[in-house]
Amino acid sequence: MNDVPGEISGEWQEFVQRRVDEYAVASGDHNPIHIDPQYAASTPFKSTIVHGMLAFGVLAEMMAAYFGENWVSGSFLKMRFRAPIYVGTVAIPRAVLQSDKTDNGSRVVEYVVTFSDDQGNVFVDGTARIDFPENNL
Amino acid sequence: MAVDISLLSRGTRLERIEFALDDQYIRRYLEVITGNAEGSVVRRSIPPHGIATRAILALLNYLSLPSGTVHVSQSITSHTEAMFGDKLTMLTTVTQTRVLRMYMHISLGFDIYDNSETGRLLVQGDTVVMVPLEQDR
Repeated sequence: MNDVPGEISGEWQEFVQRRVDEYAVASGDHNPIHIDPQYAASTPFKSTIVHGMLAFGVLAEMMAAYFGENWVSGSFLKMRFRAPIYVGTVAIPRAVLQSDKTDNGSRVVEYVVTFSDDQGNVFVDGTARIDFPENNL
Repeated sequence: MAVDISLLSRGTRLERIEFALDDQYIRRYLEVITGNAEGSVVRRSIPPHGIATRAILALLNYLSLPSGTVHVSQSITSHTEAMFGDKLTMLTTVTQTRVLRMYMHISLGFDIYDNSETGRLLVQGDTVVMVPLEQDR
């Protein structure tokens, strides 16, 4: 594995209520802030919001699809949920290469990751790091 | 029995949590994440975000956090793969608590091991949630 792209973009994700509801069933996280518009209206958010772990999973899946076994056996991903992703938002996951270094014989690449909409609003940001073992540079 | 979150403080170790990576759960999760039913078909192993999501569900259920709890940030470090059907153990420590604007922010660090004789460390993570303070649990 030595093809490290400068940028990885996923597909535009439409977070409609149905998908959020399906995620609630799949994950077992039935917090009404995500699935009950009436309840959400009574909170500071005023409307249902996407599970943070749904966005996390989509972005992580994008990285896993690209880096395969290296992602599974030697990666780090940190994401801050900076702003709520309201249900109905359309957003895209991206990773932009930040550094590509060799450390003690291992290659370590680091990306800045984001989830943003077409207006430039960044809902999620963070860091992804992949360690390539010495025999897989 | 719900955990009294007001008693949580830095260094508090939660009870060990055991859970299984059952096939149905993981496949449904992957279908929602990838947006298609084929997303999980060819998987030989379970990606780290699938393991972490399952673990965090078990953790949140254990803590019985109230409606309106919101995820602030999430990180995972992946060490090795897990297989469908694996039984895992999660060890969790409270790394920080603080009250900010009517929410209690709780930071949790966790290690996930498989239950085999070797007890391999699969995934480590840090979860930060903010829990509304004025609400019946």
